[in-house]
Amino acid sequence: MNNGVIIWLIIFALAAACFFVIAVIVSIKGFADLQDLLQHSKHRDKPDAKLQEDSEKVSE
Amino acid sequence: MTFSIIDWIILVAYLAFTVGVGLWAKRYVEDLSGYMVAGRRIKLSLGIATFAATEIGTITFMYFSELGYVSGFSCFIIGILALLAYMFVGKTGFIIAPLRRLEVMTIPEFYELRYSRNVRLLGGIILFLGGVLNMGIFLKFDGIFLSEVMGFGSDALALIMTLMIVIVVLYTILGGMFSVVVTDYMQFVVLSLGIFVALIAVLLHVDLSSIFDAVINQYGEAGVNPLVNPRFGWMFIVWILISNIAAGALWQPGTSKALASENPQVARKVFFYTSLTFAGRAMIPMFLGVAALAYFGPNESPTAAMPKLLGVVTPRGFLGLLVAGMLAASMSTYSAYLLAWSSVITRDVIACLRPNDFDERRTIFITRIFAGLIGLFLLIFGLWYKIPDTAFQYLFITGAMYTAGALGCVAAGLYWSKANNVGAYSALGLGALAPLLFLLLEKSRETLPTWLAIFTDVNVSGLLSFVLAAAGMYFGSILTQRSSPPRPIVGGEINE
Repeated sequence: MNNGVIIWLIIFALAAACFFVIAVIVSIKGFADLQDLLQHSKHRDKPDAKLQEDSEKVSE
Repeated sequence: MTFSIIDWIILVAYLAFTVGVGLWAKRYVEDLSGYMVAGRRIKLSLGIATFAATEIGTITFMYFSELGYVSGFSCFIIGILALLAYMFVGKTGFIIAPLRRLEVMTIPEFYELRYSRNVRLLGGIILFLGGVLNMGIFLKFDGIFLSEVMGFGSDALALIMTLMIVIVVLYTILGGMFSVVVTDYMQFVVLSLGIFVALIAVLLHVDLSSIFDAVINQYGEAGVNPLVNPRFGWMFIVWILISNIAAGALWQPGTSKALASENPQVARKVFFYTSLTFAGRAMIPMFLGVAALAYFGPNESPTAAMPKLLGVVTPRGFLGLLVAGMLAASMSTYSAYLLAWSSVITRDVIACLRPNDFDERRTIFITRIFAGLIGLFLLIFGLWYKIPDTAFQYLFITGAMYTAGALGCVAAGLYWSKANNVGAYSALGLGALAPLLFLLLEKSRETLPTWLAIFTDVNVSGLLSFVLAAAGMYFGSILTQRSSPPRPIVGGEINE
C-alpha cells in the first residue's frame, strides 16, 4: 500500500475520532447550557414584568 | 424509491418537532439583540454546537464528497488547512475577540466605528451580494442529495427545495437567533448521529483496499499528493489557508456565533474547540466521496455519487435517521445564513441610507421581510444556475468577494493605526474585483485573450483577491494620510 495512502488514512481516523468525541461532549454539556440560556431569559422577563406591575401600581 | 415507512415516520416526526421548537423559541425574543445575537448569552458548549451546526450543511457534505470523488485523498489537505486556520483564530482571538468586545452585531458595523458610514454601506452591499450568491447553490445541492438518497430522482428536486426553504424561512423569520440557537443544538446532535450512521454504513459495504486501489488507479500520485494534483498546488494551499482565516474571523453566519457569546474569552474558546471538528467536517464527506468512486467507478456524476451510495448502503430505518440528520444540517445552516444576510441588508444597507436609524421593532420587521425574500431568491437561483467546475471552488470564490476586502478592512482597522477611509474603499473594491471577473468570464474562457484568461483560473483569482485587497488597504492608506487622516475607533477600544 502507498505510504501517502497510509498517512491520509491515519489522519482521517484521527480527524473523525476527534469530531465524534467533541460531538458527544458538546451534546451532553450543550443541553445544560441551553437550559441555562432559556432559564436566564425567563428570569430576565420576570423582573421586567414585576417592574411594570409596580410602576402601574404607583401610577394608580 | 429507497425510503420505507419507518424512514418516513422518523423524518416527518423530526421535521414537525424542529418547526415546533423553532416557533416555540420565538417567545424568548425580547429585543433586537435577542433577535440577532440571542442577547449575547451563549455559553461554551452551546456555542460550539451552534457554530459547528452552522458550518456543516448538506451542501458541505455535497461539495466535499464531490471533491473526494474527483481528486482522491489529496483533497484531505483542505481539512487540515481549515483546522489550522480556525485554531489560529480561536487561540489568538484574531479579530473575533475585539469585535465581540465592541459589541457589534454585524461585521460592517465595525466599518462605521472605525471608518465611516459610507464604508459600512459599501461593505454591507458587498457582504450581502457575496453572501447571498454564495448561498445560492445550497438549496440545489441539498435537493440533489435528498432526491438521490430517498430514491425520487431529479423530478422531485423542485418540490423538495421548496418544502425545505419554506420550513426554514418560517422559523427563522419568527424566532431569530433564539430559534437558530435552539434548533442548531438539536440539529447538531441529530446531524452527528446521521454522519456516524453514514460512515459506519459505508465502511461496512466498501472495503478499504478497494478504496485505495480506486484512488491509485484513477488518479495515481495526484490522488494522494495535493502538490502534484493539478486542481491544487501551492497557490491553492496558500489561498485556502488565508481564506479560511478570513472566513473564520469574518464570515457573518459563523462570526455572529462568536458575537453572541457571553464574553470575548468564550468567543475564543468556541472557535478553538470547534476548530478541532473542522478536519473531520471536511474529511468524513471527502472519504464518502472516495468510497463512492470505489463503489460505482469513475463514470458516475461526481455530485450525485455520494448520496447515491448512501441510498444503497444505508439500512432501512437508519436511512430516515440519516436524512433527518442531513436535513438538520441544512436547516441549521440555512437559518443562520438567512438571519445573517437579512441582518446585514437591514442594518448595514437600508438603515445606512436613512438619516435616522430605524427603531428596534421596525429593524426586526424589515429583517424578517428580507429573510423571506432571500429564501425566494435561493429557490429561483438554485433552479437555473449552472455551477462552474466544482461547488467547492464556487463557494470559496464567491466568499472571497467579501472576505478578501473585509480581512483588509477589519484586520487593518483593528491592528494598524494608519488604516483610513481610502484604504478601506480600496480594499473592499479591489478584494471583490478578481472573484467578480472570475464569475463573469469563466463561462467564455476559450474566447478570452491570455491576459484576461488568467482570471478564469479559480486559484489565481482567489489568491489575487486577498493580495489586491491588502495592497489596496496599504497603498490607499499610506498615500492619503494627510487628505484622509485615520480616525480612532468610535465607541470602544481597538486593541485587547
